[in-house]
Amino acid sequence: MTLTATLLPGLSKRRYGSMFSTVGWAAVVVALTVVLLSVLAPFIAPYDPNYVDLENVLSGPSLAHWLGTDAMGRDLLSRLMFGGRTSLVGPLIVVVASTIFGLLLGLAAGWSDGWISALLSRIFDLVFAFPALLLSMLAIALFGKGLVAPIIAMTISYIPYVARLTQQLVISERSRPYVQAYRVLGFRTSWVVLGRVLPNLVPTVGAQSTLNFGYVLADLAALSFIGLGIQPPTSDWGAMIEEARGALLSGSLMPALLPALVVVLIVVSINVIGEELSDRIGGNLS
Amino acid sequence: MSKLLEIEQFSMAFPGRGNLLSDVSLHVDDGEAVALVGESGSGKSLTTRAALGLFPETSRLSGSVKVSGLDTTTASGTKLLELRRNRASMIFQDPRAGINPVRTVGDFVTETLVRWRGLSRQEAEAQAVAQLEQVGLRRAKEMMRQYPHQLSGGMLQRVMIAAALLDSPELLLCDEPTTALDVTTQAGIVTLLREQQQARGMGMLFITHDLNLAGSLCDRVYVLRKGEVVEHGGSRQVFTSPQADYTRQLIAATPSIDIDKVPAVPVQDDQSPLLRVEGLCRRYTLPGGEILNALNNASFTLAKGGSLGVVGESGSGKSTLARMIVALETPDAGELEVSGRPRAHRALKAGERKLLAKDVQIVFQDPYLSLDPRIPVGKAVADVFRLHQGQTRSAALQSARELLDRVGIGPERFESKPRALSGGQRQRVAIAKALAARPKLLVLDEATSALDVSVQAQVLELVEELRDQLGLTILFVTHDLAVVSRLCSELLVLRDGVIVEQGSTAQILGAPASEYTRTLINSRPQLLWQDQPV
Repeated sequence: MTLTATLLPGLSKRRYGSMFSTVGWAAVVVALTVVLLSVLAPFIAPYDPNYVDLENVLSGPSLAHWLGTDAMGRDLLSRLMFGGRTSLVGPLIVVVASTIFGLLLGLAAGWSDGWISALLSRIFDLVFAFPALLLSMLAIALFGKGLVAPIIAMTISYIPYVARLTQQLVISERSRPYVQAYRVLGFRTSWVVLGRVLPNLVPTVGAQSTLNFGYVLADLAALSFIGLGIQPPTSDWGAMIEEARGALLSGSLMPALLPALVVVLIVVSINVIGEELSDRIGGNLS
Repeated sequence: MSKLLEIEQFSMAFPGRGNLLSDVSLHVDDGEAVALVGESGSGKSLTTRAALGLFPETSRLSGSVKVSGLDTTTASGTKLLELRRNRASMIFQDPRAGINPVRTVGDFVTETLVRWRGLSRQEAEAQAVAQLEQVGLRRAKEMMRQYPHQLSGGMLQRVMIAAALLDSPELLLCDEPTTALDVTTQAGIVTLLREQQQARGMGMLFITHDLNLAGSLCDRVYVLRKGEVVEHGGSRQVFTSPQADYTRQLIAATPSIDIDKVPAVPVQDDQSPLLRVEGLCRRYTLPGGEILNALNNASFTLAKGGSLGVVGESGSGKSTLARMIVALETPDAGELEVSGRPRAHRALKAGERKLLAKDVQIVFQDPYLSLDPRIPVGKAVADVFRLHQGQTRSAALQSARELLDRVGIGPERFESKPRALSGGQRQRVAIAKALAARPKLLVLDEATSALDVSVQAQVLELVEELRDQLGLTILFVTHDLAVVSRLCSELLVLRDGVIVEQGSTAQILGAPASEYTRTLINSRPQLLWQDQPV
């Protein structure tokens, strides 16, 4: 039972043969729109995101500035679009890297018996014990602000999520008759694991990674918000919220609300997609 | 006698899937035992559930299903509840799936008595204990405080029957209640059901895929195929002079023990048996430190070109033996030689496994689990050719095409994934995959148990054909004596990890030396009229 199924029972039923429910398709549309707007920002953004126009500070939505301007007169729509580029690239790198390493470590932990499996499992436990944000701040303290240190730290923190899942899947998969048939047929273990078992896990692990994307995005935005992530003037959703705190106090909602809204929208969309994917795969596998 | 259950012109359709049941008409009178026989997908379970007013969501119904005059297709919820509580009970195939594992047997059996009949706990318990004793469970009082996992499958099915009988139903619906049980356990349950049905004058609708079982228990039979009743009549009449082609096929496909048809033992070449087992042992340490001897001191040989049936009930160690032969398990003690190569008492290395693969292959029980879901069947077989025959990709695909064709999988199925195939087709692919390694010995581990009888007959025929044409040596592990009697010239009976009898199949089935083998043979369903003069 997913969250959306509880909140919107009618719209979250998947029709036979359809990939997603109505809610799921809406999430896909939202996510794709955000991604496209960010990717195409240099071509379609109405303004330079860093162009300061002090005669036009904190203006509300108008024909010239569809979503208004911030405290330095920068166009909010353009900043949001460009902000997506940094805000989405970070999670993407983290998710891809943690998925690759998580899969490999999970396979090793699931397939081996004895001390390798035990050692890897304890390491996963250890990393699980550190919140991703805390680890990132530690990395920033050591290596300095910016995107590189938190991305590495986040990758390390998210590896166990993928690895633990992979490990469990591998353990159940290796006792299945089809895997045993490969063994009896004399195929090499490495061929069976990498060539046959691994591809069967990809959909399930992919669904988990999709969910992770949302969490990482929120975490990185939080880092930028507290000033440890992306540094001004580069636009980033988390950093935009932080910069808009002053404006918030003087009564202008938009500069802080808009990036927050985008973060919420994208995280919710990604979570819905991830949940529906894993539901679908869970249903197909069992 | 009045009609207790009367189904008339009952059809069930699903949007987009057509009719699952078409114009099914059947009736069960008071005090009558009626069988509903059909293979998977015939709609036998749907029909039975309809009698309790259990219809799948989105199904469209027509016709009527009346229990004591109440039409369940139109009855209100409260009426249906009343029907299920007081007049009709159902027992299912898997007793473990139907009982709450964290509550005691006593909780389960007394629940309806306390909640719906308003009995006090003491009264309910007294009734429950009496009922448990009536269904042949000793120590019923202690059992009330036990949990489901502490009971065997057969005991649990008796508990389910007791719970069903406590409602004193007029109609008892049995959905394959013995399919998951061993043959000796099944015999006990069938006797119990027959006794209770007759003593109480209940109507009983017994669903099964096993014609013999139907004939051993029921007065009348309905044969169902793809949602249609193709034949009905008195059990004896349906058996002895079947009218429908399908019934004839079903009867022909149902395996029976026929000593005259047992294959002859080939001339033995004892110098070099293909498989030699000497004092083989396998122990498991159970949680809690207890040691289970899964296989104890087993010794036998299998000559090249021979066929050996390994028969036993669940827990007899027959699968452990099969898995040790193909090196999925490591022996603890004893010798195991395939093609004269002794097996090490450790996990095999990659090279050793590849070498062994050319000697022995296995076909598993469940064809739904033994094929890689992602790999098209042609590629799956071609992979084996590439590994073992060193063929190029295109040559391997060609070999795979030929081999699959040989086992009855046409070229149009070559690119299919396993999920697009039926159970029988999948098992044919599994056999082709095993044969692609060109093994000398083929181990079949309950390879036909999961299949419908007509499909099982076809697969057995294929194995027979391959055995004769390729000179394959066969080791067939099964619980079904009839299946081995047809396929194997030699037999080995296992019980609790110990070989109780071995020798030629004809001799063992004709004159069993051990008590246990006799019990196994006698536990097979006996047709009601078999001992009566014609």
